[in-house]
Amino acid sequence: MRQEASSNEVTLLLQAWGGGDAQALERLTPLVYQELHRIARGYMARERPDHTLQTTALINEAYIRLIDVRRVNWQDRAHFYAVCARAMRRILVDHARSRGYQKRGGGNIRVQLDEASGIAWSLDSNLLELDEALNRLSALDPRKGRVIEMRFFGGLSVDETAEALRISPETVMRDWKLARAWLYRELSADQHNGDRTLD
Amino acid sequence: METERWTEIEQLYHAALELDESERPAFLAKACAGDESLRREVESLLESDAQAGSFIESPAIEVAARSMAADDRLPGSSTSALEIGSTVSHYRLLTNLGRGGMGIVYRARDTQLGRDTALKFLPEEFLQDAQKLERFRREAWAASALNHPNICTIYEIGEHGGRVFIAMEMVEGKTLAEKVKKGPLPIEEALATSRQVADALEEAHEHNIVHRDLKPANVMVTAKGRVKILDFGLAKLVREVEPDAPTEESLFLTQAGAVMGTVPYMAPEQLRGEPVDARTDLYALGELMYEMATGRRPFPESQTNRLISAILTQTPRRPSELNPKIPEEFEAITLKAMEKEPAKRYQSARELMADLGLQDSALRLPLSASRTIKPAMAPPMRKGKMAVIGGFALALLALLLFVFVPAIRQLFVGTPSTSNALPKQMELAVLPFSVIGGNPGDDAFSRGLAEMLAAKLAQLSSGLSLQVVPVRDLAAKNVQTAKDAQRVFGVNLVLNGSIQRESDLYRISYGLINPSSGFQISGKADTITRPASDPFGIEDQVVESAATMLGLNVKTAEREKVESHGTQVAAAFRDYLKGIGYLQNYETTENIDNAIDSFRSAVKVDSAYTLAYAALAQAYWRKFDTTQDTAWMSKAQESCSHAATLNANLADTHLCQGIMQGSTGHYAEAIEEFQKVLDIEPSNTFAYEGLANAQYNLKRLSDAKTTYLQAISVRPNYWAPYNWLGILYLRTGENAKAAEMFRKVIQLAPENQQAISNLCGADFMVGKWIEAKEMCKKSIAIRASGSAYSNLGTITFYEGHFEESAGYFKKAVTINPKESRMWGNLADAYRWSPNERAKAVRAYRQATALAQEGLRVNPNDYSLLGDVALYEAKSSKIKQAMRDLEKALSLAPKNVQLMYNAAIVYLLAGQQVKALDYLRRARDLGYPVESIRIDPEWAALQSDPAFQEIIAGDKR
Repeated sequence: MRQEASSNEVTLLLQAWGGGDAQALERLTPLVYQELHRIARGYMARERPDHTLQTTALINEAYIRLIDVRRVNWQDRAHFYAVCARAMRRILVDHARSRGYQKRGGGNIRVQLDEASGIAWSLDSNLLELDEALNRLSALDPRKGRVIEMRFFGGLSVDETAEALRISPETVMRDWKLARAWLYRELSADQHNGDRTLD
Repeated sequence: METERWTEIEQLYHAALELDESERPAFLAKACAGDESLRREVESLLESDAQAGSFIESPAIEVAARSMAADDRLPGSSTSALEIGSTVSHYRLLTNLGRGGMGIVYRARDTQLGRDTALKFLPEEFLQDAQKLERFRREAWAASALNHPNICTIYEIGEHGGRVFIAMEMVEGKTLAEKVKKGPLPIEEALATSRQVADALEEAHEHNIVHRDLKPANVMVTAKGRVKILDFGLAKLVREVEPDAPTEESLFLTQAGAVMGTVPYMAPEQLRGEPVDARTDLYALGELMYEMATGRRPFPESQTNRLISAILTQTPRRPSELNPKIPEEFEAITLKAMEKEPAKRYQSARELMADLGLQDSALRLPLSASRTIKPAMAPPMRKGKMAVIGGFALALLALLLFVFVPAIRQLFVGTPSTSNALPKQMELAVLPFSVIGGNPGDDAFSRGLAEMLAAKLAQLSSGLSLQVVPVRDLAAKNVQTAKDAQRVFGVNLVLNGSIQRESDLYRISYGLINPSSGFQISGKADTITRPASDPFGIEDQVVESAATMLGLNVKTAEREKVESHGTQVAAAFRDYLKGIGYLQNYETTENIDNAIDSFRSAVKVDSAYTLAYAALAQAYWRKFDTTQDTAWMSKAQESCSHAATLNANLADTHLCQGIMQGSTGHYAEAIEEFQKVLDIEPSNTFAYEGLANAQYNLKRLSDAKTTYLQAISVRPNYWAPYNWLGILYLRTGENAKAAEMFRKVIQLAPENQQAISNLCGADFMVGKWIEAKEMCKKSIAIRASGSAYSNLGTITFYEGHFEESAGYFKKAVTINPKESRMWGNLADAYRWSPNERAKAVRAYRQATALAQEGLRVNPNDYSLLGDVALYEAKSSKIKQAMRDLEKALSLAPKNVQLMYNAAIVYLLAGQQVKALDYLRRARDLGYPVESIRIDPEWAALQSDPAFQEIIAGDKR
């Protein structure tokens, strides 16, 4: 089946990239984009009452399709998680960057105006800023940087993150709680929109 | 940061998180043991945690997908049409500023006005429901009528390629959200900001416009501390796009779990879905004040359900608990504004501001008091607070709490530099009163009222300390704001207001504004309420109170004069005012027709209404002017004569007759009439213009100049007479003097498009082509006009770029399709463009036909006749051309332009000797050699010795 083949392909590509094959990421990118578009379309049908459930399902589906741990040897799992998260981060940040360039003729655009109904932030540019802030966090505290990368970019659960980092789930939560506040403060220092949040 | 430090922060952070929020400050104070930076670091992280809501709780792929979805839903994002650098209407997109529920916002260059604007494109949801779109337009227009220095101005609501956009003032600065993020604001700044917001709210509420979504992110503060509120009146519209009732579901489901920016600032009644009013905005202002004072929201809850419940039921912590420096009064005002029950809050922005005004005077008092009040009289200090008083600034803040506060209420708050005094020499513009609600007829009524008000104020001033720009001049230049009036007419005072119809009552509010500061002048505002059935009373009362505001000493005789309306019939007067209002914008046929209808119905009701007959004549004359259908001219004359039979001694009657006589070539009679107008009204600018025109046509050039100089001496700050005199100088070949006059106009009124276009012409005539082209383009940027395009076309024509010049002339005739000369120019350009020659004949035919229309009205117009001869010659109708030329020359044998026309006609007829003969005569009469040199008609004779001699030799 196409889907099977696809997730298989993803897994192989991720493993290849994790093993140092730089080109694998390029081949991976369109597959992630495909998922992105699928979820985005789900959002656009937002007038449907059940859309929240639907999009949540779409996201879960997307991760299953992209990161199929069943295909990975359990010894490699921790490493595989880390690779997945890093790959997702690279692809999504590049995506945000390319969209930013494409529409604005330049990357570093600050949001100036709030809007009445608050769809909020220019999410693309914030993904970029978040990426940069995350680099700063990693410099300060590498493990917390990895927790954020795995959970936010990799979409991993607390347990999966704990497994990948070989720490307890409680520590993941504590790291998460502080790192999140730290990042939020970083972003709001130059983003005025305190009353809006990424969701 | 050192690892050790970081570990310490981490431990304290987690420890504090375990505690109840109220226990944390004490815990941290103890744990940090005087290490302030450590405490601040942990506190700010805790605060971030409290505010972070669902920040990064959803995975990045969802964030990215949501962003894509938002993009694709919004107009422009999914197409390439709105690329940076592309043009929308007359805006060039510069950068993308951001996007949100209200659409994408760009910084854009207004190519017409040469200024930067913020351009907001609405989401497609707006476009799908015509009814909502219409309501949106109406509301946005109402909001755009708000003219206040603290409200971001809406310039335009436009449509481009099926997308609706709002063009608004580009505000450079930081949002209040950005500022409070960094912590509490200094109290002076919080006060100044609150006062400006309150002032803006008062203005908006006066106009029945409620913001509904006031929040820190909607309040911009410029580097100089000027507050600008964004998105006035638009919030409701957004909500309307969403499902109707603001239930939790509709508000939050669409946000898919995000903490929506708006919620923390919503008033309880808003959350309950109850009707909102001015007090809802005051609640939001209270929240703003709270946040400015404490650096945090009154209800910091991040989960929406808890947040809503807190807003509905909980009392916020006292601001002074969070920031001990907050003055008690400020706290009291804040908390009163934030009362859950609207009835317990301030009932109006004015009330709140009065209390803030007290704060203000309390704040300032010690400065002066310290010098005049003896120490013994110094206010007693409250015990306990003394200890915290440190520097001078702090001492002031503390004093503020205990000082006796005099009952001075500052209702209008200006910057300290704003003077409340009126200028000595007042140059006033009366802007059309904006109509709130109501129907189209009300709009014309309000415009008419403004015009009558302006006219009567001008009458009362007797031309001394006050000059009033005629309202129709404002309308002709599309002046809508005080700033516009200053730029275009150089006024130093603006009267504006609004008119609102509430069933059978008109409620009219108005005030004087200083256009430089944009502030209303303190104490110079009034509101009257009158039955709609009493237009007389409305006008009299407005005139009287405006005269008082302006400090005009109205004598009884004058009052009687201005209070005579020419009719006793209310309905007739109302129709008359409407007609005047329509006639202000005589550039559209519809308005002229409406004016005619209104005046007709006025005289139908009151057949002795002289003023209405005179006005009807003017409306007919306008109709003639645009259609060139002479039947209208007869009607105009008829109506004007009828007015004269009713009352021959009114200024209006004479004015109307002057216009009729002048436009039918009876210049001597016209002069008489205009002089009679000036006997009655010595500063009537129309009369000066008409008089000088008639004198000019009688070739009494020095008289015409004198008339203009008189007009200038009567009103030295009025731009128009300088412009007229400049035109006269141009016509008499005194080009440098002309340019000087136009520069004078521009000095008085920097964006006067007409003068800029004329300066283009004058600069061209003195050989400054580059400057001239620049001026023309500048003029077009302000407002596309036929004459500026035509001037630009003329310059490019003489540069030899014929096809380009044809393009400009084409634009000129599109704007002024009835101008024979523009058609003639277009025809010339076609004739010299290799690929367009075929079009020339038709254009000449059109030019000839239009000129002949004019001749039918005024057969003595030799200049038109000379034009016709030229057009005929250029379309190879030599015989007719010769005949018309001769006729023209018999009327004006020594006219220099006719000489030149004759030279060209003979040249085209193949009679070279005669052609050169006329050319020599034209040169000797002052036709500029340079103009001959550049005229392509002479191309074939360039090497002819006789021609060479003419263009080489000077005037003898």
